Amino acid sequence: MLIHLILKDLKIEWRSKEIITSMFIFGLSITLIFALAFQVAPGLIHAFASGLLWVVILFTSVLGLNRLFSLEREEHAMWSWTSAPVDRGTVYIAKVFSALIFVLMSELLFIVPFFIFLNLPANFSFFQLALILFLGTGAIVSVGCLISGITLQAGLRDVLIPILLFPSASPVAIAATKCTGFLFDKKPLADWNFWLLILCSFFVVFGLFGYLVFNRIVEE
Amino acid sequence: MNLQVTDLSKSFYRSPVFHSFSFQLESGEKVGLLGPNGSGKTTLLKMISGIMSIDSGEIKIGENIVNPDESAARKYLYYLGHSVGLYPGLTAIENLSFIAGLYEKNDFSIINIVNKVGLHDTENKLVKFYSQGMLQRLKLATALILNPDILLLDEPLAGLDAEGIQLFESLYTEWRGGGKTMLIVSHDPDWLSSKTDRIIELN
Repeated sequence: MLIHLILKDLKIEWRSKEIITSMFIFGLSITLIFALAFQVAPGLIHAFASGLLWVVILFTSVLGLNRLFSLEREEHAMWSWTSAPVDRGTVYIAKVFSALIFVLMSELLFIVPFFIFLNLPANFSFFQLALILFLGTGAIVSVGCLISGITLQAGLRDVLIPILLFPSASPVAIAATKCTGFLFDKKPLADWNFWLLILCSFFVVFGLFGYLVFNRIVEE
Repeated sequence: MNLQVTDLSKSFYRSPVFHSFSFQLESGEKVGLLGPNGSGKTTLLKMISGIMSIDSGEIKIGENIVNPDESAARKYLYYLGHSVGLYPGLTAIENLSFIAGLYEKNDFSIINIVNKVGLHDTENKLVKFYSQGMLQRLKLATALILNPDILLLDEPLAGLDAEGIQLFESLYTEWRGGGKTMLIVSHDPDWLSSKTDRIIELN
């Protein structure tokens, strides 16, 4: 069932390419703005780079989550599964995986321009960066899918998602920024694995919480 | 399969729509729901199908209680609403296959059913390009694939042309012969009384 639900999102996105394209263009635009803004003080870029990266990821995630859940609102498409004998917690988990795939794909597209435009050295472990991106993005989308589910029936959901997501995901943004900062400074993993565990905990705890409460929050 | 609604209450912004409302449909019974706009006909069907929450009371399908935490009751019914409930970004076949998967039904018969409802030329067209009548036919195809014990039909003739109405009539005869329990909403009292065993009027 989980695969069935994820495949549906992937099929719609494969055809329209709306989510990944809009996230990539938006991410690239913010990166360009940061690159231009930091022209006056290029020395500061290295110190701020990790934070800037997660600001871009957080902003683009909001865009992706908003669009991903809009698919369910169009023509009341969500009625197909709210009236079906499906555990709605599974729908939440499927949404987390779909969002994770879309956000990670857009990150793959704008991370190279991010390093090029901000003139950052890329002499660190790519595996560790991939791990941070995976856990950080996973934590953001698990919180984000829960909030998107809560606001699914709301009229002002486009505004409500960032208003609710940014404060809720701020611990994730802080932990992810710390991890990335330590990685950029080439500090050993033992120095910052605590922050990595925080990301992991957020991903798992919000994932489980969302699974448990999604049944109730998607009802009209 | 019988359907039992007991002491159902539902309010919107403190304005009650249903207050201690009860009724029962015996297995194979066909009941019409009649009432003016805003009387709660669609709301009632949405609550029975689990799309909408209830404030208090109980809805039972057979021995299963309709409850957001229990999905068992929902496998016995299909809500054919006048809103779409299909993904505009998927084709007719993909939508049917997706919904069949949700009900763990095999999708071998989808092509035959699509032909039966007269959508064979447009089966690979995205649903967002479908007309109202074509969408209604697609929803009838969904009901055929799922073959549930209880059908909740909300204005089933909406958008259908003469040929579509004829199709519905033949499907209705098939469902009646198969002993399906049906709750039908319509604004046409004559048509409704010709199709159902009794009518519940909502004020």
